[in-house]
Amino acid sequence: MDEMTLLAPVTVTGMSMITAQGACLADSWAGICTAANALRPWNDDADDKLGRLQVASCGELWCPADMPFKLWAGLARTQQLAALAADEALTSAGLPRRLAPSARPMGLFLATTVCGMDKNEQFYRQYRQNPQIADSRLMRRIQSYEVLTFIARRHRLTGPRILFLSTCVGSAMAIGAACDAIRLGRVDIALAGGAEALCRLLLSGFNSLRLVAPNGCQPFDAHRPGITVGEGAALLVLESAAHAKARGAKPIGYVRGFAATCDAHHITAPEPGGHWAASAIQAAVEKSGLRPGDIEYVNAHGTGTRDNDAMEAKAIPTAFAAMDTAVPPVSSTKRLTGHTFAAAGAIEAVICLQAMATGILPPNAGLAEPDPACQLPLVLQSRPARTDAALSCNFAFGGNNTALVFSRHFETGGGGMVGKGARG
Amino acid sequence: MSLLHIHSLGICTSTWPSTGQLRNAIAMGQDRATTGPAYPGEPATDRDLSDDAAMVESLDAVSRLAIGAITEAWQGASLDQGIVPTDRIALLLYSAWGQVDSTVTYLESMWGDGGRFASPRHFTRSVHSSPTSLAAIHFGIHGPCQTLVHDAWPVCSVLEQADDLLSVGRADAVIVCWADQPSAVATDLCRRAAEDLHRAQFVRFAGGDSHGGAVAAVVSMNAKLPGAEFGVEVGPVAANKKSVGADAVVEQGAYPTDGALLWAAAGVAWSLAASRPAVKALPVAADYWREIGHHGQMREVRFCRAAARE
Repeated sequence: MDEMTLLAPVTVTGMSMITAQGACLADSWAGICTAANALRPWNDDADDKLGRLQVASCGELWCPADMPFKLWAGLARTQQLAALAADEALTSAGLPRRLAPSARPMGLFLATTVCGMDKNEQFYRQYRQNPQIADSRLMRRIQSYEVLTFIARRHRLTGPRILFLSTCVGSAMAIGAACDAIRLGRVDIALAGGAEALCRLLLSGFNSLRLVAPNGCQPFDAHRPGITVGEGAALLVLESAAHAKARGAKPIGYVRGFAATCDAHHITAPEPGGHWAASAIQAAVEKSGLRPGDIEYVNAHGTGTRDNDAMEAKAIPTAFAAMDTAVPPVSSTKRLTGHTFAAAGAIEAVICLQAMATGILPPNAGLAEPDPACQLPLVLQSRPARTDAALSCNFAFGGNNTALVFSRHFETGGGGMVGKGARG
Repeated sequence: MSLLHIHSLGICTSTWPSTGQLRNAIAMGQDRATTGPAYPGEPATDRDLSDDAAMVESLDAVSRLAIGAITEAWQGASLDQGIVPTDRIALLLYSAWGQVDSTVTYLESMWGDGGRFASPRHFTRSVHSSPTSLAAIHFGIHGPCQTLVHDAWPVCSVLEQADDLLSVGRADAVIVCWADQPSAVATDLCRRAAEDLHRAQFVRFAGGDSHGGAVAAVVSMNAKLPGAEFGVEVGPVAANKKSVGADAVVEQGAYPTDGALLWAAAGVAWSLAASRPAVKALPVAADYWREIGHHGQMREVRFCRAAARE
């Protein structure tokens, strides 16, 4: 297969976003742009030491009209989030929610971390007390792939499918894998992204690591106290340009480049110098076919932990310096959406696409006193800015790094990678 | 669908602690009964993984199994000689259950004593991708490292993802690995799912004994890399297949890792039969291996000489 085909832009024709800011893309985006406070306490149980921690919850999820409530109630929350996101993404792409039997196979590339852990926690709580009386129905969602199976069946997606369990880079990897499959001709159209539900294991686990900010995260702040645990889902409908054109789909934007690297440094801490994170950013820009200077916005991973933000504040400038380009405006949207782990890559991909589509850069909310060690051109308040290309960075447990490059138009820049540091 | 070179294999199960022992057993004419799914029990993990005993001791079961299997494959393909830059090596790890023991231990610590002593170590180990990360750290892999799950084809889905990564040039060599620990909890959950929920896909997992182990392979599209077990092409079931043997290996194992072991055994048997006429009559030698999902969907791995297409 020739290089032009392998680097061809993949068309985004539909997308969805469910976050603590809203149950659909429009509401979520409105909340993000206005930096609305969507955080709330985990619960109101005075005896629960986790109860007062601020989380980014999506609240009550409403059963779709075409789904029996009994089925809905038995789903894991991750499946519910994924189903709602799939409905919105397919609808926005002008596709039916359930593809016709004769439709061309559509791929499914999903990511989650906890999948059915909300149900599993209930089950295991009973099981540890008395295995004989534990309600087996609660373990229907015990296997991670249940979310993949459910979405594939519900929407009749018969193409290749796979589930990424790569924590905070999972959905970025899913988008990258879907683009690879489309470029290789394995499938013409795919649904890609991630879903993650709040559960006690996640909140308690990060709290045990002393990484949860009690009152909300403050990415790149001098006194950043840690992350805000969140939940949400986002999915993209991705197509080859020819397939989108043939069915008359209107492009929202294009996925231009993707790269993934691994620090191989530590199970939880990033490599402090950000070398491999910078390498992923450079490789993604290189593969995008854009000039580095075409990138006009960076959505940072910006979790609000000391180690991540310090590393990222080195990696982004290092990558752009190596490409002889000034760092474009940067913001982390984690304060507004919470850290949605496996869904973060897809949610932030949608934020990049929305920023380009609407000409508004989302703010780096939660910043009170910028960390002098984090010298990034942060977007302090949402502001209008014509943006034709954007970069989304995600970093994860175990040192996984991903970068995705998006453009608004099919023909953008086109000058190819120039400047020192470009890898051949 | 591309021709993938399987340069080397690594096996760490209770039945076969290494590929060499599996190969010898097949060459001696043992059949599927002994080359099939791992026998219950703790797989041998006494392989010399590192000079750092404390590091090895700190690994959880899935990571130890995975690193044990990958070590054999890694050395078999001479990756320890630095012939492929570490940023051009990718790692794909499939684990159906992840680190069950760590998850259960963490849940216990989370609920016990009001959660005051929730164990951060067990939390990090409970994350499904932690064996992938620990293996990446152990081998210094800087390419894409992915943790994958599929609902029907644990083996073929990983091989196809490796195919994609190699085809688009994201890596020059891919380590594929399947690893699951023997777990009494997982076995009991499977039994309950099979009996109480009538879930067909759990019946085969619920044999009463816990299974586990790890299988790894070094895969590339470059025949010039060292090692040459066999070649594979993965795809839909071919209508007009040509078989050199009985359909003896057309079977899914009782555990995802067993599927990988069956695939590896089928490949080794095919390779032996192709290169040594004396063992052509082996009952396990066929020129394809099929993976059967729990709803009957099938995917096929076709074996071929890695060098034949050069």
